[in-house]
Amino acid sequence: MTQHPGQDELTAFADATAKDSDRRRIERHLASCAACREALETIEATMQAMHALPRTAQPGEDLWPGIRERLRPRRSPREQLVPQRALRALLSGRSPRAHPAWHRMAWAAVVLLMMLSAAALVWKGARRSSGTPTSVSNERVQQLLQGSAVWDRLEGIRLVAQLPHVDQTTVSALLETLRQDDNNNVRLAVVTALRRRADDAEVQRAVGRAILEQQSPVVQMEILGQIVATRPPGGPETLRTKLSDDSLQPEVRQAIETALAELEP
Amino acid sequence: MSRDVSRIERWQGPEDATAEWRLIEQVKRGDTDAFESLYRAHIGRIYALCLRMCRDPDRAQDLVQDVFVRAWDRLATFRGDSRFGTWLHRLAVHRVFEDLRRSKREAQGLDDLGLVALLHESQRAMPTTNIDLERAIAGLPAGAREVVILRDIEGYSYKEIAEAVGTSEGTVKSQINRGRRLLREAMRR
Repeated sequence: MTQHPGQDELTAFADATAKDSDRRRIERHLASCAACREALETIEATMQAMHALPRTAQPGEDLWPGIRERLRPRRSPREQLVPQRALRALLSGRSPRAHPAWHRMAWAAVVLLMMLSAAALVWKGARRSSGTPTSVSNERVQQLLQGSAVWDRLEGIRLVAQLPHVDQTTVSALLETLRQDDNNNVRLAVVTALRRRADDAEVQRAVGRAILEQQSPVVQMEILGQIVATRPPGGPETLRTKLSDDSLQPEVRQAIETALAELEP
Repeated sequence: MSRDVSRIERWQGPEDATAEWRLIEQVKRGDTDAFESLYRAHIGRIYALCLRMCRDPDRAQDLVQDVFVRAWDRLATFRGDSRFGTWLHRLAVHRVFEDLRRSKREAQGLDDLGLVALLHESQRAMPTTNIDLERAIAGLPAGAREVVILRDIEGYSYKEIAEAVGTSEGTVKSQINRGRRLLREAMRR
C-alpha cells in the first residue's frame, strides 16, 4: 500500500483542487485503504453540509428606508467635481458617515490653520526676497527648493509662476519636493505650481503617483483633484492602489471611489 | 465529489437578465424605485454573507446598508462583464473585509452572549439552516472563518479569495485547510 495521504491532501482531492499527479496517487491509494476512504467520506460530508447551508437570509427589519435616505442624487458630470464636493463634505460633515461635531470642527480648524500658515510663510518669504532682489531663473528656483527653511521652499515654488520657461530640472525638483518634503503647505503649493504643466502627461502621471506617498488628507485631496482634472495615464490604477492604504480617512476613501467611478465610466 | 466551482455564477438574483439590465440602466439615470427593486432582489444574499462574516446582526445590517449605498455610488463602473448579483456580492465581500480589518471585536473573538445573539438571528433569518454547523463556523478563528465561508458556502475560487483578502493563494489554501479541519473537529464533538 502506498503512503497515506494527509488530511490536507484529501481535502484538496475532495475539493477537486489537487494536482493531477496527486489525484492519481490518492485514487490508487484509496482503492486499497478503507481508513482513508472513511476519512474522505467525513471530509466530503462536511463540505456537502456547507454547500447545503442557505445562502440567503432576511434581515429582521426593512433596511431600504435607511438606504434610501443615504442615496445621493445623481448629478451631471460638471457638478461632480469630486475634490470640491468631498472637501465640502469633509468640512460640513455631510458625508454618509457623518462625524461628531467636534470632529468636523477639528478638521475645519486644521485646514484653516494650514491655509493661514501657508499665507504667512509665503508673505514672509516674499518680504525676504523683496529685500534682496534676485533675477528669476530655473537655477534660482532649484536653489530655493533645496533650502532648509520652509519659506525658502515656498518662495521657490511661488517663483515658478514667474518663469518664462520651466525646465525639466525644475520640474524634477518640484516632483521630488512633492514626494519628499515634510511640510504639507510646501507639498500643496507644488501641486498648484505643477498645474502649469497640465498638458504634460508624464508630469501629471508623476503628480498622480505622488498620492501614494501622502499621509495628509488635505494633500491627498489636492492631488486627487489634479488627477480628476488632468486625467493622467495610469490615474485609475494609482487610485486603486491608494485604496488599499488602511490609514486613509473615510472621506478621502469615498472621494477616491467617486473619482474612480467618474474616471472609468 | 466534484466541486461546483461555478456556484457563485449560478445564483444571480432575478431570473430575467434583460429586465434586470433595464433596471440597472434606470438606476444609472437616478431612479431610486428601480434601485429598490434591485435591493429587494439581492438583499437576502448580501445579508447572509454579512451576517456570517461579521457575526453581529446589528453590524451586518449596517454593512448591508453600506454595500447598497456604495453600489448606488459606483453603478457607473458596472459594465455588465458579470451579472449584477455577482458584482454586488464582490462589493459586499470587499466591504466586509474592510470592516473586519478595522474591527477590534474581530480580534477579541465572540463571547457567549454574542454567539447566542448570532445563532438566534441565524435561526430567524435562515429557518432551514443547520444551526450546529453555523455554530461551528462562528467558532472558527479569524482568518480561517472568512475564507471557508467564501469557498465552501459562497463558491469563490482560491484566486478570487486571495484578491479579496489581499494575500497569496497559498495562504488562502492553508487557511481553508485549517478551517475545514477545525470544522470537522467541532462537528465531531
